[in-house]
Amino acid sequence: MGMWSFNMSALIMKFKKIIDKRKALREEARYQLSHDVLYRRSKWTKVLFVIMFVVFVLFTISFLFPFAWVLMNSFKPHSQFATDFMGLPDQWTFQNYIDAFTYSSNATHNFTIFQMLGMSLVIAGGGTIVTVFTSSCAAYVVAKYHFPGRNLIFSIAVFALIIPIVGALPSQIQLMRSLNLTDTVIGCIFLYSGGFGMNFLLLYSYFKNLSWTYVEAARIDGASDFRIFFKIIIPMARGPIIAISIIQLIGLWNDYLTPSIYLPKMPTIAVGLKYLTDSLISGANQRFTMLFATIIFVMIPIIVLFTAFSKTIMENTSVGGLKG
Amino acid sequence: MEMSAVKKGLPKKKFFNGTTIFIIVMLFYPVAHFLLMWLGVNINSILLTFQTPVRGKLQWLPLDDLFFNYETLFVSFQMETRQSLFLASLAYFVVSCLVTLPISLFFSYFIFKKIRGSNFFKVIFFIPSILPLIILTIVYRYGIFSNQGILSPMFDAFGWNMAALFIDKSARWMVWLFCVWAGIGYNVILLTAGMSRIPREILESCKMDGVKPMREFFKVVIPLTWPTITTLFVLGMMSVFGVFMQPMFITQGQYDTMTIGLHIYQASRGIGLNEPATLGLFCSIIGAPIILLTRFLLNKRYGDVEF
Repeated sequence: MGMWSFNMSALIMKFKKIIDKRKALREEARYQLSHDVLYRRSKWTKVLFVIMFVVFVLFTISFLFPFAWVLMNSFKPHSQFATDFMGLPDQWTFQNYIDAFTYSSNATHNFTIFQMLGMSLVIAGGGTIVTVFTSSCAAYVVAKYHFPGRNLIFSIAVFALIIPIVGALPSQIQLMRSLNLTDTVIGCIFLYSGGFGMNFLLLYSYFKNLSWTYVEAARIDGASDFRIFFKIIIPMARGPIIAISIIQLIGLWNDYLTPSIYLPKMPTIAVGLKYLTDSLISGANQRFTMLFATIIFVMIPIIVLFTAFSKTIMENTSVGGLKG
Repeated sequence: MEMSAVKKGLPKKKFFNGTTIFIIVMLFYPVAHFLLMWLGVNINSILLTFQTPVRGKLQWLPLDDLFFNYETLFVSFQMETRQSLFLASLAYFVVSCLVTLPISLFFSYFIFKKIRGSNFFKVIFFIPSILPLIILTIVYRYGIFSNQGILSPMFDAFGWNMAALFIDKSARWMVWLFCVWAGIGYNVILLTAGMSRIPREILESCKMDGVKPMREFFKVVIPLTWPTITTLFVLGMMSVFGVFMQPMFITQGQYDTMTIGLHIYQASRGIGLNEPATLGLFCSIIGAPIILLTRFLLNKRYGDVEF
């Protein structure tokens, strides 16, 4: 018990230190901002900024308040929600969450929410690993090796990104059907596994500027190209590869189009939520509170991922953008 | 710095040396995937427009009636539903390019100029990008605009029925409003990143010259963020053909909210793949040159921005 309380006080001290450090950094940033000539504002400019601040606050409320409302109602008995949807729960209950964890029906193809999350993990995780790997392979070779057709490959990769093509979906479906890749996890990952696209361009520009000194040294030591790529290049490019992977993972996790067409009977969470919405809201037996509990539960992994990698995500999304 | 691995340090006479094999192995899958899933799919898209379903299977059209799908498509233009489909889709040009983008630009400027709480607001702008669209639509449809939603007490006070908002003519406005609400965040992220690359010296000299914020916004920030604006404008134009989830989740494509993208998505799930393929190809033939020309003209507006 004594040991435990000692650890707790140490932990609290550690937290306090982190909070104090952050506070100091914030104050320093605020001080710098107030003394920065770039951000000194005239009277009328200040008024404009106050008006825009109010607009931003309203915009923020429009996002946060509905989610807070969903969170609050997810702890409310359904009977109370039917009559009182704005007040706090009379009795806080986890029943909606328990129901959400076990709910499955014909509409969800008998998948529970955990199975849907599992599917998302396999599809989005697998797709991310494969596409980032193939993009890295293609980008590295095109950026660093001279061979016939190199410029053609790069030009086509850029062209494919620029040219707006509408309605390739029917043809893609026909092709996937003829390859017997519909209704399979492999088929879905195969579709995601392309090596050319935005990831290719981002990694290409990274590899292009990468120093070649280590590679030359390794080559003199007799290392093969494969060994150089896996033992030197991949560890060196770990930063951008991780950043691209996180953004790709979020994009594929949220993707609705591909799994809804090629894996309708094995729903990922993005597709399953649609099934759940249709099932829990339509008809006489509406279960809004259970749907809200599901939404909150589904948001947890995304929020955890975003909190853990917020800096990486925010810095790199601005370069590549998110899909989905 | 960069050197040719093939040319340097390796025997030239031997064609299949280690490096050549390495290049082939590394490029084999990405190139094969591209050839199959991009080139193959697009060629097949064209071929599909010359096929028709017969007893549940697609078969080639006879030579004397080879353009049957195109004829059917052109005839369908006289139908009210098809006209409504095109109009509903074209509306997304206005929503994306003429409403969401200008608002986002304005918002981004204030984030860039470090309005109080700008870091917090940036996180808020990220919400639409990290959450599945279905969650946003559920929150929008049932959390805000429903008879049990957070705005219902206000609407009740005026005697308005919230459920009626998603029926008839107001339904399309609700989908457009959602697109603006959820679309601003994504644009702001990209635009603030573009603005953050503007050199400090330029902004400092503006300040020294006493340039007012709005003048700085129109005369300095917009020209120097032009490449990002062009990209977002082009993406907005492409949304005319691509938007499908928003009307599907909010109105199920009812009440004149059916778009080209949603029609292709729904029609592609059946056997008659020739019809959505023909519509898609027609849209590509019409849309691609317009989009590419717009891109070219927009890029010419301020030339290449380099700093």
